[in-house]
Amino acid sequence: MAKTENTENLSRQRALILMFLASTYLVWQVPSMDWIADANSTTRSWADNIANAGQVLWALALLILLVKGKRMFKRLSSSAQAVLEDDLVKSHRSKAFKVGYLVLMIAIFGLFIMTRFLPMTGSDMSRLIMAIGVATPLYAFALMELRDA
Amino acid sequence: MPDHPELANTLNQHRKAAGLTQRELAEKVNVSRKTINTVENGVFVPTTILSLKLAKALGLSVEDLFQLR
Repeated sequence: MAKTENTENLSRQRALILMFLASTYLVWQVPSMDWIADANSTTRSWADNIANAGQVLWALALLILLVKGKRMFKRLSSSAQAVLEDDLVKSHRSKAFKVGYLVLMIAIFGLFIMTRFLPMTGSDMSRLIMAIGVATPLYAFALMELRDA
Repeated sequence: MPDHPELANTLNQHRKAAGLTQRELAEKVNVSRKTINTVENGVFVPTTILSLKLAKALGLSVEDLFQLR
């Protein structure tokens, strides 16, 4: 019983870490956009601070994952590793990529319409598309994992 | 929302008849408890491999567990 509870906790932790990574990535990318850099100096300074904090948190989370995640995973038995990567998890991952693709296509279409009315730089466009492309599958996977918990 | 509304399953009844909890059955077939829960609720359609493992763990055939409506 303890093994199942442990893998359930690990599965929940994995979902929360992925949501944290997606959030820090958005906090890093969105305030770094050119239209904010064109704003007045107070707004720009706030945006810079937020973006820097997001970048530091993203890097820290990745470092912790790299150091702790591998050790934690290695310590698990092969059956526990299989539970963490079972059919439902694979199905969630596949659905998350599908959701990510759909949202990305809708976002690109939305951005295309937006550029008719608002001037947007190429750098802002690619930053937004990248942020949506990275964050959506991470959120979708994490939410599906937490929903079925 | 179910993945395939035309698929019915009797996993819940057979698991209870075998005197197993979702957790115990999950451990027998090496998946998480939530996988068993989503299969029982029809939210997740298991792969052929998992269906065979579930049937084997309960001493039944796959057709005993899964039927078309």
